[in-house]
Amino acid sequence: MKTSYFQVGSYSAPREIRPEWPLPPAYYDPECGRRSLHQAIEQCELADQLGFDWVSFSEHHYHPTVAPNPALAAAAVATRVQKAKIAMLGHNLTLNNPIKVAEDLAMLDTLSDGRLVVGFLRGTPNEFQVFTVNPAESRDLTLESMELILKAWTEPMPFSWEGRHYQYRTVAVWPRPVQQPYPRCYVLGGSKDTADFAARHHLGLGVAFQPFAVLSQTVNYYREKCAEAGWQPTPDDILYRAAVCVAKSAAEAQHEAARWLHLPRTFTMRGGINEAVERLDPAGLNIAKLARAEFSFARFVGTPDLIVQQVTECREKTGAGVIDLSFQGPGMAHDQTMRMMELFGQEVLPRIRDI
Amino acid sequence: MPSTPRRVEGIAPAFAERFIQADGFRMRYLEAGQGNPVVVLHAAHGLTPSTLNTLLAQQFRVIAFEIPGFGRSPVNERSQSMRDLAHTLAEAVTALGLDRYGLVSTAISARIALWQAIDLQERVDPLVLISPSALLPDGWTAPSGTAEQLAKLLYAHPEKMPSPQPEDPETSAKHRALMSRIRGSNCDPELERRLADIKAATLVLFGTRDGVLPPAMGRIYVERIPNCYYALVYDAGHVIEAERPEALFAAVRDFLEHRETFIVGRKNTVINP
Repeated sequence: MKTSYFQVGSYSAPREIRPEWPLPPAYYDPECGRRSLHQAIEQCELADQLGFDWVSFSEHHYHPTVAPNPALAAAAVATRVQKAKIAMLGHNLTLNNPIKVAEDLAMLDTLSDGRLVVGFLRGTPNEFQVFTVNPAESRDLTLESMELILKAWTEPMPFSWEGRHYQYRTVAVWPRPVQQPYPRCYVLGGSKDTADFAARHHLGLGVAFQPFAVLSQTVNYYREKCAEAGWQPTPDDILYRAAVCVAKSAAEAQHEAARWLHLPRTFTMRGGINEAVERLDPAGLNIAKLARAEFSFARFVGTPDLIVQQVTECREKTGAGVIDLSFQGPGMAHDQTMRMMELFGQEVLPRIRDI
Repeated sequence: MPSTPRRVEGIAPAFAERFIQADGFRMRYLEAGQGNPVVVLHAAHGLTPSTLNTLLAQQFRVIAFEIPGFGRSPVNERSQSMRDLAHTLAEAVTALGLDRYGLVSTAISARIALWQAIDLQERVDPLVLISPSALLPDGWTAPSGTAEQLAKLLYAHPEKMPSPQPEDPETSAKHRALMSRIRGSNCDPELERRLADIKAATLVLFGTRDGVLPPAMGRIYVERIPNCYYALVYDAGHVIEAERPEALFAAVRDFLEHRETFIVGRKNTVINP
């Protein structure tokens, strides 16, 4: 099992923050933001020292994180982390110009000497509103964006793109990725269209936070589609993202896991806005419902022994060969995060590597 | 001189059916619209109602020829090659009095269009090649099979396409006989050598999901034709016009109008002035 340290860009708030989206900028403390970003980089360095295989980043806006441009954080980390791969999991494709994403990622692969891993992300419904994206178009936007990025990396001659959502009359991306034809890529999401795309393009599949049973169904569908496309995915092609709460005692771990119950609320928009988004994209992620259901992001909770059992179960039930783990629960201090990472690195990581 | 126009049932009302004598053939063509002339050459299915032609006729004088031996025309036992047909069409264009014209071809008519652009260098400009089968990969074979198998090759989303109408056996046999004689081998060394002589600004379009020809063939045209541009139409198969007609029209119209400057952004982005 490969293990990735998911650096979500947590903002260590000096006071309690109202859980809603968008979070008013008035809550932001520049000194706290500066400290949080530097602490995030320290956490990535520690992950590398502890033997994590990857450090990963993703994009969030108007939210208590310092992560609107994860490529910047990844670039800073890439120059300080020596062994771990740099995983961009990833750019929110509904919000970004796909040509710019192709260029940024190629530049990151160049900067990191070919250590980049890529995840293509549709994003959460609240964040579609950052650039007033129609939720009903978000799936098609993501599919077209992924196809254009792959083409931009691989096409040696300038070309024009006559898309449904994007039209560029001159595409000729420089630099191109160090890893040819392109870095290992994952399509992130559990829907059929994302699995279809991943299978058709021989890409990995990444799923976040779902229970193992649901993940297993998604992976089985993906495997069927891969077989139809004439190839068989390996465990490395299946990525699972979840939060981890590891402690010396099970009770302490459970106490920390409670922090994650509040996370959906930080993505929740006001009632009328949630409902308007749901009407436009009824099959999309409904964060308001998750918040009301007290859905937990923490799937690996307990003592080191228990975590090893849970990771083993994850591998056996889902076939996932990469877990992307978030350690810093909402409100958790930097020191506590580092201690939890050290415990995981010393007592869990060596025992799950060969699962 | 062209014959008197008449309306044709089942074809866009603006198009008139006409005939002209050229190179010993009585050639059928459809014409509509006003503006700069654009000559259109059809694909293997012959001269059929075309969304692209209808849209182009809003802005250009569109003249869509039926290649002798296709559709309603008599059996053509005279033309021996694509270059022969290029010569025939050049005579037809001359008979119509067209001095300079844009030339748009789809699929199998690409070699005819390229020979015209080579032989009539001062008259053809620009040149548009849609899913062209002029340059072919080694070992390539023309698509064949049942209607269902063909649909999978021709379309990115065959499930969205209407069931194909059965082709008249006599017409099919006529097409097959002509094509087997004039298609030539996968490689036409003389044509490929002469591509460097083309002066026309050239646009080559492929669907990103073309199942008949690899879209990457587009880059070979760019390498060999001096002023050539390569466009990918997202989520379209070989028959781009059937699956992404508006996208195809937008690219072809902009290229016919602006030639190489079609890459310049002209969209007004002001929301509320």
